[in-house]
Formats: sequence, C-alpha cells, structure tokens
Amino acid sequence: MEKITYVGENLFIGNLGHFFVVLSFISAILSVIFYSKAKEDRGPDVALGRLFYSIHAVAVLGIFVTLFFIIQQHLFEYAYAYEHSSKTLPLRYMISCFWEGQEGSFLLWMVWNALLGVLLIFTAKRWERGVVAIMALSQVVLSAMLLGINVLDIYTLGSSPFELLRDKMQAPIFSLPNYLENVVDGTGLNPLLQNYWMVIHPPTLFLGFALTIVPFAFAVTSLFQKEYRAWIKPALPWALAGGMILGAGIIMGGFWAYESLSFGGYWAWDPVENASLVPWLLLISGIHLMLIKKVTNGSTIAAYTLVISSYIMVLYATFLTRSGVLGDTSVHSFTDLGLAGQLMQFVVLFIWLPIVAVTQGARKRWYIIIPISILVLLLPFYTKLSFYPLLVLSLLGIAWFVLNINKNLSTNASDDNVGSREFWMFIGSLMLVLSAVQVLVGTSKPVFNKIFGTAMVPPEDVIGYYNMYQMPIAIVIAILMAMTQFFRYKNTPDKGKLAREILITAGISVILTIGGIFLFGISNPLYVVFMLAGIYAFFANLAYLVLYVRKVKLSGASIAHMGFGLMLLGVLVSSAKKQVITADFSGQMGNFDERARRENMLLIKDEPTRLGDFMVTYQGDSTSGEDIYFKVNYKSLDGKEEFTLMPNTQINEDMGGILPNPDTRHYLTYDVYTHITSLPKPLTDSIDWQNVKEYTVNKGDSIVTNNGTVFFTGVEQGDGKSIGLKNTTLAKALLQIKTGKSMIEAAPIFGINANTYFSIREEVAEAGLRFGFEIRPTLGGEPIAVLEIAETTPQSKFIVMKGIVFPYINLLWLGTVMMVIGFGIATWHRLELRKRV
Amino acid sequence: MKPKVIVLLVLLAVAIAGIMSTYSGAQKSSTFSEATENPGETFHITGFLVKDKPMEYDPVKDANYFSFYLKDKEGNIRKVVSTEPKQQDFERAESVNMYGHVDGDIFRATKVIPKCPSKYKDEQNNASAQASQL
Repeated sequence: MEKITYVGENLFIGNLGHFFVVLSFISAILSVIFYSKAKEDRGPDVALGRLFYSIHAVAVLGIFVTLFFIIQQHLFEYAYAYEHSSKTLPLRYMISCFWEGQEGSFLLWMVWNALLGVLLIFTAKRWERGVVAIMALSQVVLSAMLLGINVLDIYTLGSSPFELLRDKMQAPIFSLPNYLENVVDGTGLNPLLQNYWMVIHPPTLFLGFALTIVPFAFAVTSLFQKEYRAWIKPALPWALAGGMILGAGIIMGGFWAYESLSFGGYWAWDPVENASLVPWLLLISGIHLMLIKKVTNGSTIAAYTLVISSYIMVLYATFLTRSGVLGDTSVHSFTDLGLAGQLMQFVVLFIWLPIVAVTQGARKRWYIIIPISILVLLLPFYTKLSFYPLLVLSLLGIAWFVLNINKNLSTNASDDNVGSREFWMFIGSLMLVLSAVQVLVGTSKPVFNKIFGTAMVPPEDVIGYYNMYQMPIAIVIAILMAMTQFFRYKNTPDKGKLAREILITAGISVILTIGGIFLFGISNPLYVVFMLAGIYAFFANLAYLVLYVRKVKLSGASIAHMGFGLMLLGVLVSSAKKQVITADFSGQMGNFDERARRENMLLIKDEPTRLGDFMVTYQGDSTSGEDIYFKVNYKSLDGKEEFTLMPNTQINEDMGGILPNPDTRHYLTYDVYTHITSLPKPLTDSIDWQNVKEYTVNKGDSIVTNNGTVFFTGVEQGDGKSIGLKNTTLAKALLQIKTGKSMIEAAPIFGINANTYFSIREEVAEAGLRFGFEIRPTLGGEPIAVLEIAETTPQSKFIVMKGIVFPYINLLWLGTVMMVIGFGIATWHRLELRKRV
Repeated sequence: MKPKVIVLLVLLAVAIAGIMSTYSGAQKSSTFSEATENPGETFHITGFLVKDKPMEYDPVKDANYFSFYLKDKEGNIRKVVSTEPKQQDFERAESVNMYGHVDGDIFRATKVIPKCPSKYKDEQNNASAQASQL
C-alpha cells in the first residue's frame, strides 16, 4: 500500500509515551532480576534493583504525564483522546478520562504501585529485596498491558493508550492526508463520570487495590525467608491503610451512585461493586488473623491464606471487570480490549508465586517454576479448554502450599481456648470469609456459565438475593464484634467479670433496640434481630472504649467496630423503612397485580399533588448545555418545610435517549430523593394543525380561540444578531395566552433584511396553539400587524418521576466515616509500634 | 475434637450448601410456553421486540403501564405488560431480557431490561458513518 504522509499530527508525543511504556516494562524486569539475585540486604544487586525500580517509577510517571498532555492538548489523532475527551471538557474532569478507558485505569494502578514501591525502598529495610521484587513483578505484568506490541503476528501484547485513531479505526477518511482537519472534536467523556465524586472515587479505590499487594508481598517474602511471624509487624500498617482506603473508596462509589445514579440507592450488589467488596472483606479478615499471629503466634496458615487471597481477589476482580466476561450483567459496561488472556496470566502467576515461595530447596522450586512459566506464557492462546487443567493444577498447588507450610511450622494450640480473644476473632474472621465467598460465588455466575456452558441468569431481585445471605452473616459478625473485645488474648482470667460485661452491654442494647423499634417503626423479627446486632456492636464497643481505652492511639479498633455497628443500623433503617412516595394506584389501564410495583407518578405542570407528607408541584424546566433541569417544589403538609429539587436529564444519544440524574434534599433524619423516569414525547413535525386563521391585530386586542384567549400586548423590535442573523431587523409579537389554569407567554418573530422577509412561528404545545406574525404593508396606508393562529389538541406539560424518602441514611454515612477514622487511628498506632524495634 | 476445627467444619458445610443452592437453584432463561404451563410463577425470558405490533405508553392515562409485544426464542409472541415507564430508547433495543409471570393472555413483567446497542459500537458506527460522509 502506498504510504500517506499525514498532515498536522503530533507523532512525537505518542512515540515518547510509547518509549516510556517500553522503558517501564524493561526496567521493571531488570529490577525483578537484580532484586531476586541479591543474596544479602545490601550490596550491588540491591543497588541495581533500586536503580531500575527508580527508573521504572519515573517512566510510569512519564506515561501518565504524556497521556495527560495528549488529553489536555486535544490531540485527537490519538484514539484515547478522541474516545474519552472533548474540547468542551472542563479541566477538572480531564483526569477522569483516565478511568473511562481501560488503559488509563491500568496506568492509574501502576502509578500508585510505583509510588508505593518507592516508599517501600525507603522503609522496608531487610524486607526490601523480597517485597520490592514482588511489587516490580506486578509492574512487569501491568506495563505489559500497555505495550500494544504485536508478537510474531500471532498475538498482540497489551493495548497501548498511545494508539493513533487512524490505526485503531478503519475508515475511508484516513486515506486523506489532512484527515485531522475533519476530526474536530472527541466523542467526549461519559456524562456519568462528569461528577465530583467520580474525580476522587476511582483514584481512592485504585490506591486501595494497590495497597493490598504490600501485605501480600511481605507474606510471600516471609515464606521465601522462612520467617513466619516477623513479617506481621512491618506489614500490619500497610494492611490497615489498605483496609481504610479501599473501604473509603468503596463507600465513595456508593455515595456517588446514591447522588447521581437513578436506581434509587447506594448499593446494588452490582458485579463491579462486589468485585471491590470481596478483596476488602478478605483483607479485613486477614488483618484480624495477622493480629492473632502477632500476639499469640497462632492462625499462621489462615493469616497467610487470607492476606494472599485478598490480593489474588483484586486480580480476579480485575479479570472479571476488564475481560468482558461479565457481559451485560453490570451497569458498568467495559469493553473487551483483548486482554482476557493477559489478565488470566496475571491471576495465575500470582497464585503460584506463594506456592513457589513455600517450596524449600532450589531444585524443587525450578520443578514448579518451569512448567508454570510455560503454562502462563501459553495461557492467552487457548481460551476454552484451559479451565479444567488450570483448576486441577490450582487445587494441587493449594494442597502443596498447605502441606509445605504445615511442615515448616511449629504447632501451637493456644488459640483453641474458647476463653481467649483470638478464638472469637478467628471465628469472626471466618464469618468475613463466608461473606466474601457468598458474594464471590454470586458474582462469578457469568464465569461459571462460560466455563460449563450453563445459562444461569442473575436473580430477579439481585439486592434481595444477596441480602438474604448477607444479613444472617452480618448479624453473627456484629455480635462477635461486640463480645470479643471483652476477652483477653490467650485466656481471660476473670470469667465472671467477662460474663457481666457481655451480658450488661447486651441487656442495655436490648433496651435500646426496644426504643429503636418504636422510633424507626420496625417490626419484622429478622430486622429486629439485625437492629439489635448493630446496636450491640456499637454500644459494646463504646462501653469498651470508655472502660478500658486510655489512649487515643489505642482506640482504632473500638471506633471502627462502632462505625460498623452504626453502618448496619443505617443500612437497615434506610432500606427497610424507605418510602416510595410516588407509589400510585390511581392508573386507569390495568387491573392491579400484588407483585406489580407502581412507583411512578405523573405530575402535570402547576398542579400540586400530594406525595407522602408533601404537596409536590412541577413548576417548569430550564436548559443548561445538554441538561434539562426540572423544577420540582416540595412543601410539607404541616407547612414547616419547603424546598425545590432540580432533578435533571441529559439528552445523550450515545447513552440511549435520556439520562436522568436525581436530586436529593438532605435532612438530619431523612433524605428526599427524586428522579425523572419519563417525559412527554418531543414535539414532532407531524402535529395536525387546524383552524389556521389570520387576524389583523392592534395593541391591546384579544382573540378567543378554542384553547384559550390570546392577548396581543405589543411589538418589540430586536436585532437579528440575537438569533445569529446579520443586517436583519426583527419584530416580536408579544403574546399572552390565558388557558384554563395559567398564563403562558409567546413571541412569534417577523424579520426583514435588505433582500427578503420571513417569519418564525412559535408553537405552544401546552395551549395547543401555534402563532405566526407578519407586518404587511397596505396600499397607501400604515402597515398592519397580522397574527396567524393555528389550533391543535393541547398537550399538557408534565414529568413522570419517582420520589423516595430514605430515613436515617445519615447513620450509614456516619458509620462509614467512623470506620475509616478507626482504621486511620489503627494504622497510625501500628506505624508507631513498628518504629520501636 | 478442637472447637476451632468444629467451627471450621460447620462453616465449610454452610459454604458448600450455599454454593450448591446458588448454582442449582439459579434461574435459567426460559420461554413463553414454559411460563404458560406454570402461570403465576416467575420466569426469565429473553426475546425480540415485535416492532410492527403496537407499543403503548401514555403517562397521562397511566404512568405505570407500559405494554409491548415480544417474540421469544421459540418464535412465540405475547403481549407484555410492565409497571415501569417505557425507557426512552426502548424501540432501539436489540433484544429484551425480562422477569415476570403469565397471567391469562398477557405476560406481566416485573423487570424489563432492554439490551441496547453498546455505546462503543455506536461510536464506531458513528465515526465510520461520519467518515464515509466526508
């Protein structure tokens, strides 16, 4: 094919970006090699490992800056900028372009990993060569995702964010050397991402994901070095920080969903939400087991398993959400970039890393490393039959892991004492695992379908399905959380005191729950038990905090546990007592079915409707850019409260018609949430206008039509520039239309310029009237004003909306904030302890 | 036996039972004929919109009544009634997933999920359409 010389492309910047990708890939490999070659904590190998890791970190930042430059400079010759940004995109959302595309998400993850690795070089001391080597290994895999290099024409390694638009898309336009002049603007950022919470939620979540590798890396390093206890101390602050930041990231996603998605809630058990929850649950479980290991030297295998699997689950979650296997089961639609094979390699590689680590003896290790390496390299090539051998191998690997680690451990039985704190912590940790397994199993259905060729569909009521399993588990966890702090490690000496503490706090919690039953109006027995468990977790930990905790830095656990209790209470009350105030049983068209949810209400403009405890009026709309805002006025029946909500819809063809965004009024004890569910059909040309008549009018005249009276109040002169016409004079007829209920204004336009005259009609659908205006010269006399009026059936202006009152949802937010603060305090405390050697 | 082991075994049993029930009790995609044999029972049906039959949604009459005709994978056509408002671009749906039950002649859908042409594909189509116009 003939080579075309394209005009106007900035190819240098893309080549620079690509250079950084290749540099980051190669330097990460070299860093792994030198770190793992190192035989001692200092020396030339470690120095080289550090050097290459630093080069890698700089290269990763280089990729980030280059891509940002491309987006910020609107270089639409690059597919990434074309697909994810546009010229009108405000600077504050440009950063969000990174997480709309997959390459950008991987890049974000890499940036965090790179920074964490640098921190570890400075702080990990004797753990450095193992821990940073593992960080670097994960960076090798991640940067390979961005390579976009074709290997021997059979397999493309990675997907480059610096791919040119003309390479990515096949279109005739790209045969023009100056095609770029026609690519005026990018296709823009998904409007759902143009939201404040969407600027901070993904980076927080990815930092949380990135942090899970640190405890994993410490754990695996300790297996290599056969130090089964000492790793806990340096790893614990990282694990706690991961728990805090991943937790905060997850809840920010929930808050974003609540504020700007229209499913009417904060948590939908969506696969993508679940995929971030599973690693968090396992990490929390792992933290508790690490504590047991640290204090009593027990639960070794469990601690290793959980810390390792929380990171494996981060990788599995990435596979789930990024490989396209979820298909259309999620609202978060991700396209398949052809990285499924590489993502699978990522998971398999890191499953086998700890198995290799636990195997003692260089020769044995090679027996595992060589076949697994071959397997990993071949993974992208076979897609379907790969599952069974992989499953068998993984099971063998896990068995090998348990056998080997058991062999190397001195057994310790202190945590089998039911009078010890660690016994109950251990059970609590297992309950967290059970919770994670349930979420994982439910979410993995599409994977299961793909492997076994089944056609399971998601349950009809997804939220109800998960709640049914998760509620009993949460009840047990909350009760354990309440009691366990009163136990002592190893053995609680004063059993009588222990019983008193547990029973008195439980008794007070029962009394509080009875109060809660009346306050919140909850009567379902399961909900009452759930409420009791939440209150007990909150109150018992409060009591522990007051009775025993003398220093702020020791209060982390109690505060986090109290937060969890409050969170459960908030979840319960806000969902069990949520009230759909637009529930409507007045429709005319169908006989009702008890299973049917009739949750939408038609509001005609200016007609107040009673919804719950409010009189609600739709007062009109206004347009701002692509958004139409609907003014919905709420007045409480007792007259004390009045507010206006502005739910909006965005006309967006790409996203399929209208895209509603809710608006919510927050009060201390409840929220009023509203979103649009349907709108009148837009006016079309096919309206049948009848009774077209002309009237000669003078100022002050009124005309009676079938649809109301029209008052002609005068003519206003204007300049054509206001509607984009030069050298044109406009005359606007000022009209007021009195229909049955309201006064509406209209202003049809007549325009004249040097050559011609024209008239711009105005249609008032609400009144069913159309107006035309003309100024006609008469023979010898003054010109006359002529009004043309046409009639049709009036179309009332209305919205269909859903309104929900969420009571006490602030308990949920308060609980999560307390949990995050608790984690923060615990992280700080463990950091201080680490310094004291 | 040690208490820890007992707890471990109990939880393992619970987990296995949970997984079994999740996978064996999971709903599978079905057809109108199966749903007709079991009226009142909830089924999941995937089908295609019958575009030459009327689609009815008039919020002024009833904001919670939407009806359309769907052809399932066996080719049977039924009237579907839903209590959710019609999604704005419902006509464009490539296929429709829904849950619901048969009641007399109609299928009462409790959840309707239209599968629209994906955003990405649309973009590509738009881009190549734009490009071919140039």
